[in-house]
Amino acid sequence: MPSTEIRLLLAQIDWAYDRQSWHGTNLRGSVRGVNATQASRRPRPGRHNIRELVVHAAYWKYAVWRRMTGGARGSFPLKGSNWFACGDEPDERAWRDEVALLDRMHEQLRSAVAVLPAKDLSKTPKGSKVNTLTILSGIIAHDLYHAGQIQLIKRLTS
Amino acid sequence: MTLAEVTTLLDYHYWARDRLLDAVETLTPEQLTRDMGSSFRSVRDTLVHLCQVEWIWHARWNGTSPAAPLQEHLPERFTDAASIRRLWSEHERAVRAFVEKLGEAGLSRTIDYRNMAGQPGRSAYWQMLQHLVNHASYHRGQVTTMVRQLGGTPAKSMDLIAFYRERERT
Repeated sequence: MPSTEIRLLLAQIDWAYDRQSWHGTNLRGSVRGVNATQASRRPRPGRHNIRELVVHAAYWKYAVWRRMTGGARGSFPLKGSNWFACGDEPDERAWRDEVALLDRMHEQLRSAVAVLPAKDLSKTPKGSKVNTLTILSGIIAHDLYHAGQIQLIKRLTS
Repeated sequence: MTLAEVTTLLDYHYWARDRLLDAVETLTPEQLTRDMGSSFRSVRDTLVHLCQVEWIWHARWNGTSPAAPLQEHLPERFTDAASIRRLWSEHERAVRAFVEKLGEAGLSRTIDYRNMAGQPGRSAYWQMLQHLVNHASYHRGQVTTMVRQLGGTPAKSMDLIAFYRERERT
């Protein structure tokens, strides 16, 4: 049974990702019902589409997980870091895979948080300048920031 | 959640607000108010919504549950980013003063209130403060996208990690 601190943190991680929350649509909710055509549209040429935002969010969940657990560098399923170019051509299979990647990276991170001893929240992981609680607060904000963007991009491109 | 952690979150929240407003200040009045189809239509309306939310929560903490925003907080009253910044800075002072007075022990206290639709709610102070910050993150993403759509220069990174890095440097 996770400690109270970890349970509260997990609740915030869940609200930002896939549990009903106060702050509006969460990240997973923002892509629910979105098809490959919608996900591939760009609000302006050169701007990110929803597919790219989804893979970017997946990457940072992976990066935080790696920081927390000391996982091997380069173990993200896609080559590169931060932003990944996704095509403009609607591709339902690729889009499904991208959303599945986001779910997988989220679950991987969430599972790591669930087994974290509360005392480790104040520890600074190797290679990091801030403690684990700070890193996790950052990823919650990151999910919400991009959830808001995706909601707007859907309107702008519809 | 400790008082130090809540205070740091608020520091981040207002730091990100300032970065966002710096970017918004470069927009013309027409760009600021242009209907972009967002949930709060324009850059101005979204920013004013965030101001209104802080006022509403602060009112609830003081025992009043508003059913509507104040007339002077309606978006039409704001014609430029500077006027939004002025109001938001007033709210910041009120929120910070309240949290300071609340203290560490007060953060876990719960209060009863009614939402704008009149439905009852009960929350702990730390949850409401956390919500305030998370809610703003959601809308900052939208404002950044709108600024880009309008051809403006988006704000410098508003990631939490950028805040900590900058704080470390100064």
